[in-house]
Amino acid sequence: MSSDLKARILEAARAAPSVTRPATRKDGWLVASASVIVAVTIFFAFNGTEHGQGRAPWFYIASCVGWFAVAAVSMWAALARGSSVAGRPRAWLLAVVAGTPALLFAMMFGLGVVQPEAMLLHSERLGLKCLGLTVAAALFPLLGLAVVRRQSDPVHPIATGAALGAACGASAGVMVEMWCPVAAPRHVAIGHILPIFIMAAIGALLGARVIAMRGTSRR
Amino acid sequence: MADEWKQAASAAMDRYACGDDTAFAELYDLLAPRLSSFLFRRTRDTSRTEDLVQQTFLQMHSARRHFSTGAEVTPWAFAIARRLLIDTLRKGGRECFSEDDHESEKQDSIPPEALPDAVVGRQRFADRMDRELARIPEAHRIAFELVQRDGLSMAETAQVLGTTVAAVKLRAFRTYGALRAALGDEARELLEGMS
Repeated sequence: MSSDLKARILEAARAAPSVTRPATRKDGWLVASASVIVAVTIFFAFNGTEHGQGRAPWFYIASCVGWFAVAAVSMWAALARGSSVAGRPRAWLLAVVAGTPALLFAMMFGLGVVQPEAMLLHSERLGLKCLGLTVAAALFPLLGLAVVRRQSDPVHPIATGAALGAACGASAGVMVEMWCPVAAPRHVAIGHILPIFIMAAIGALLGARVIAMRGTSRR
Repeated sequence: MADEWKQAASAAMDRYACGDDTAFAELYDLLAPRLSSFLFRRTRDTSRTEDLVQQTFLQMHSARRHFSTGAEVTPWAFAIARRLLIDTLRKGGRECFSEDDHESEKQDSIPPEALPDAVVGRQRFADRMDRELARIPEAHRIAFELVQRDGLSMAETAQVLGTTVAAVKLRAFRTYGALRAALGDEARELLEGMS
């Protein structure tokens, strides 16, 4: 290596100061707080307190708590990097993408089996409104997280983005689950599970474009 | 301890992430020779290696806010270097092989007190080993090289490659098995080093 390489690197770093860790400590909390505000606003804007009625109270509580628990685990699995800055293994992230919707659908189907009447309520509704609401509520946190994590992943940014997308989709789904009284399997699949896959696809795209770490040759 | 430099590098990166700009020079001193060696084996081009080392450090500088407390910097630095290398090769600059550089690297690995016959023997062995390694799939070869030549642990290699420790072990040992089958007893020293 040439003797002046170190000097060149240190000079280039000095010329383009970067943000330090303490300066960005609050970014994640800001995104989380703003995301909750967006979700709550959507919930009340669409008359959530009244619209969600019609289910047995225990079914309502069980589905919302279950959805929240899965979304929380999914968000932790997608966000936490353990002791590695490079992130979790690709298989872990793909498990989040595939496991989150699978677990949620299984939970909703299981609850429906326990109380079959819940699956009959408004079963004709396709779920396009739920799909739209989930995507709308999930887009903000996903974009926020992508910005917070911009140019951070040198190993598997697409898988990281997809996992973040699935986790954001599941988290937004908590609000939609509180809002929507329908538990018919077709409706759940189209209105509540499909948007998680859509968000995972959007996340994968953001992963490739925003989260990926790419270099610019100086030659 | 063999891993002292890794701990020192991680501590320096931690300080740098917190805003201590003087730690960057320390980080360079600890990581640059290892990153250069890793990159040179793939580019065989001194100028390109320097460019990639520079890019790697500048990426670490730009992304220092992402370095979490208590994390290890070595796998992160190697992962960035590998990503930049892949991007460079994809942009059309396939490996620009320089025989002079390749030869000088081999010479560097030979102890000065070695006799001419031993020098020739080791060069031939190095050539054979490189040829055999070139036949092995990239995913297996890089796992083997990171562990064997760059001194990373299995867990660190798994982080660099974004896979599991079990997958790295499998790839590294399969590569070793292929080398041992091709090179015979000469590869035994390597096996001892990997166990």
